[in-house]
Amino acid sequence: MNAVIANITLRALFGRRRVLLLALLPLILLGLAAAFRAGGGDDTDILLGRFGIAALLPLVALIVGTGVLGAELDDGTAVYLLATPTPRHVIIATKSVVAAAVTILFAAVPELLAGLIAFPDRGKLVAGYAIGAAAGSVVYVAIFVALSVATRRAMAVGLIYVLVWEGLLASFVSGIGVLSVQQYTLSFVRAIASAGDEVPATVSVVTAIPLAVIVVALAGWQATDRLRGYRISGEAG
Amino acid sequence: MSDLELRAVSRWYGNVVAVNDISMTIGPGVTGLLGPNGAGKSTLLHMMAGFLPPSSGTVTLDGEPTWRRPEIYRSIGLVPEREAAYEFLTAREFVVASAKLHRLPDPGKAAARALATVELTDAADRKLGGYSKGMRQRAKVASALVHDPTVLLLDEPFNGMDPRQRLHMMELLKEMAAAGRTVLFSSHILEEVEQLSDVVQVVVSGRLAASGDFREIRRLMTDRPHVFTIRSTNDRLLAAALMAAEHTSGVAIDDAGLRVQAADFGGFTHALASLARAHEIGLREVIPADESLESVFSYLVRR
Repeated sequence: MNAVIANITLRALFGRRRVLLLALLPLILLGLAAAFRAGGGDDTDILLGRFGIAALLPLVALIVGTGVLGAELDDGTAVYLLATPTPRHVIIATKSVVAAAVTILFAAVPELLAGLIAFPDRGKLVAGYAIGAAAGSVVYVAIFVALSVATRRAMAVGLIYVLVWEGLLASFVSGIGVLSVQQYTLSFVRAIASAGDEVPATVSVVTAIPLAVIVVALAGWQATDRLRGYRISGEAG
Repeated sequence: MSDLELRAVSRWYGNVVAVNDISMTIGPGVTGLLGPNGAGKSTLLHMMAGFLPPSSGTVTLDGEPTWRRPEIYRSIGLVPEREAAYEFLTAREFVVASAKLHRLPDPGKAAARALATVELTDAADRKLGGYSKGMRQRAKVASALVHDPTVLLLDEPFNGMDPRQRLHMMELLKEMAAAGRTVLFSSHILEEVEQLSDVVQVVVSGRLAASGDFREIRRLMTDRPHVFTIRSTNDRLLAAALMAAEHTSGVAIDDAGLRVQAADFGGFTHALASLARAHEIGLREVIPADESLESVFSYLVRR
């Protein structure tokens, strides 16, 4: 971790217009939670699973994960960071930690609040969803930070990944579950809350934990390697 | 004291060759990298700064390759051409951040010194977003030299500066060179390079067109054939007199006046006035027809 990089990253992130979108998504979740409570809805999977874990979490992680470094690489300001002897793994680690913290703030904390609003008597399950979402944040963010170093179209590629891979294939094709962050997250929720089929996860937590660790490690290594060979381009002359 | 060395360096993007087989050594002092837009100057500079690998050949700083080695930034300061900066930071925060990233023992002091060097002390606590282009350029320079690098690379540093700022920046770069640093800047403006650098590397279409002492290159440039458009009180008489003179290689007459091909610039310009006076011809207009930098460059390439 590097405090200077963390500070600049946070200020840059909250100075961009994207932050409004970031605030809007959890507000929708909280609004839905209020509606659930008013209407007496009791399906935790719809609110906390299908909206919270399957939609809100990856979208927030996508906006934040591609924003912490990708935006600087796009507008050229990253040069001031890269033209220093700072080890590249420190840059990636710092950016990822900041991104994970912000994602937890805008996805896992609202998940907790929404759960408490809608299902005040299901404390353990709600805590499971919130902690699971926090763990999922770390994995998603690692992937999106790596993606932002690998391509300038990280946002588009990430969105396709979230919608097609996580949203469609991993939910309906059971074999793909072992390669789905959403399924890892649900398995964490299920284990933490000691819940049963109420939380539909297609992988067991014993499988999910090592796979999640491998995904984070591979993404971090890939991002560091790409950043070490970062090329300035686009200017003829 | 540091040397940047390029050996047989080429860089291509697909089928486009941006830099073609260039070898040069950049040592202490100010070196100007001169060339028209699109000549490959930025590509060369990015390779020197470790932000682009050569497609073939080697780029080394004191014998070590620059590519994929963040350690080189202990000795290199880079001022990129792109204007982007962290707009939400003040100049002081920006330079202090740079000092901290270089792990300097006293970042605040180092930043204050760098800001004083570029004369930004008074404006240091204003945000970069509100800076003029010239001020922002100086903030970038302060950030690049906060760690006292032995090599300073600047990509088109004078763009957007007013004449006073330009003069000040030139003084600054000269001082750095006098202190034994290696300073390299790129420019497409002949006069900038002329005023500042002892050594010039002229790049045209990705190739090294000329290299060495500026005065030597300037002589090559002025000795080349020049075309002048001349209007006088008696064009035909002047044409005849010019053809008889030593420094003229061709004359054409049309409605606009004379088009004279001079064999060498210096000799011709000296001879013209005395020739006109001797024949009692009044000169109304003498216009060099091909003074653009591109024509100077293309001459150097053909040579």
